[in-house]
Amino acid sequence: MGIVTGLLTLPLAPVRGVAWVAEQLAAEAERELYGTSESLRRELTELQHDRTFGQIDDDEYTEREAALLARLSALRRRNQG
Amino acid sequence: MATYLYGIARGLRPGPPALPSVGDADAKIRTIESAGRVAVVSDLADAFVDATAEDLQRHSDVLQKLLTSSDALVPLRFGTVYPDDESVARDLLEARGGELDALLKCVENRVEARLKAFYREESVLAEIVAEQPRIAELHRRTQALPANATYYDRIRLGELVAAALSDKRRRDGDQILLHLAPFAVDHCVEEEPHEWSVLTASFLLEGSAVEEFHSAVKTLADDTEQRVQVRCLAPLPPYSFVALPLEQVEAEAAWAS
Amino acid sequence: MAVAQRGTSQNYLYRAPSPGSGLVDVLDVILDKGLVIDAYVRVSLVGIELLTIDARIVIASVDTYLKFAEAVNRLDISSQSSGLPDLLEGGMESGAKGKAEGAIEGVKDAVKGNGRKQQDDDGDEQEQDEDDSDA
Repeated sequence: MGIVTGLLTLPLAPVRGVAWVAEQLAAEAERELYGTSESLRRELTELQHDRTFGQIDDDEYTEREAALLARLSALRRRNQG
Repeated sequence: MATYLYGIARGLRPGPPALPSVGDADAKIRTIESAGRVAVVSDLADAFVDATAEDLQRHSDVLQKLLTSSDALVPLRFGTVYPDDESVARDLLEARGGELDALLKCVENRVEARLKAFYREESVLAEIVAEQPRIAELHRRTQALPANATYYDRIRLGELVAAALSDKRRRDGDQILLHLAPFAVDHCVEEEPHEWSVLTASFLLEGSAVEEFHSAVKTLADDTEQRVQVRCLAPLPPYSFVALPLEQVEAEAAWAS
Repeated sequence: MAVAQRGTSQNYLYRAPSPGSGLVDVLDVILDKGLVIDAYVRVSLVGIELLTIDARIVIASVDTYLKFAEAVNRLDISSQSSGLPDLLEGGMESGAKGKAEGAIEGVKDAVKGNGRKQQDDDGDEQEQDEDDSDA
């Protein structure tokens, strides 16, 4: 859904080449894989929110924390390289 | 070999924390001193520190320990690595000594309290629907018809709710600050990209005012229980109240030596 | 210092972070706050603005609006309608009660019991009044 939504919200423009579309798809896929800094913050806050309202147990909390940190690591490594 | 930096303290009680170090559990946490400023460091094999849960936790744990065993603590952001001890002493403690002294003074006997408040989704949505007939009407309409007939109505509904929520957030956030800011020396507010967030704020407290602040938060939380959940973490090292302008130093030159 | 249990829906959580407690609670300050000193140590502080965001508080998008619409439609609206006059009366303005926590107090009065005030709390209060008059 993310990729399609992204394309739909792009401003109208003269038809661009296939290469450009491929670039956009790749960029979006990368964003989804690694996350943007904004979405990392959102996920962090969401985790804090869910715990505040007691909506998750310790197991789920640990799992989501691990996933968040993994994405964080990947993003740091990618930015460093 | 490099030097990992946790924080800079004044009036540190003897004996650095016997806690696991970032990046290398066996490395001892030790200190580098200059003119009363104490840099708390440990040895590191690589220059880049990965943000593993373990290392992040260790960084936090060391600083929490230092908070209670020093008169003033300037916590460093996670991941600060110097080439060696000499550069810490020369380029940080001595070269930036005056600025560090000023920061240490700002945080002397002070701690941070971090607050996050969230709306109870059902409560605040019910408020919004009750307060805005237009929203109630759109709600009725979108419930009466099948989903594919109400796409634009639902977007409009959501848009109105978002606007109403934004207004409430501003007012409720201000109320919380009005209630708590008097107990603090300083405070700062952050933007929080979460739809149910009310406020994310940090407060700088005198160490002696922590209990009083605690009571104020509890009173606030009890009062707003039905519509706002408040979460407060304290005492913390004053992460949010230490900032220096960055100095331009050649990256390659420093690391080449 | 109060020690709160994890995983329970506490009204507030007030504790010093201790070794082994939720890292997530301090993650944003450790990664985004704290002293940042010299440019040359940025080699290891790569992505230091990892968690900071730009000026938008809520990401305004079609997705978000649809989510809100869905959330509203999940409400059981009929049970809230009796609370409507109270909600409007309670108001949100701090001037209502003339003190700092006025708005919060006002809302507390209005939405206490989530709109059930008419049915439950009033009943309780009436009972209390009767007891008082007896005594």
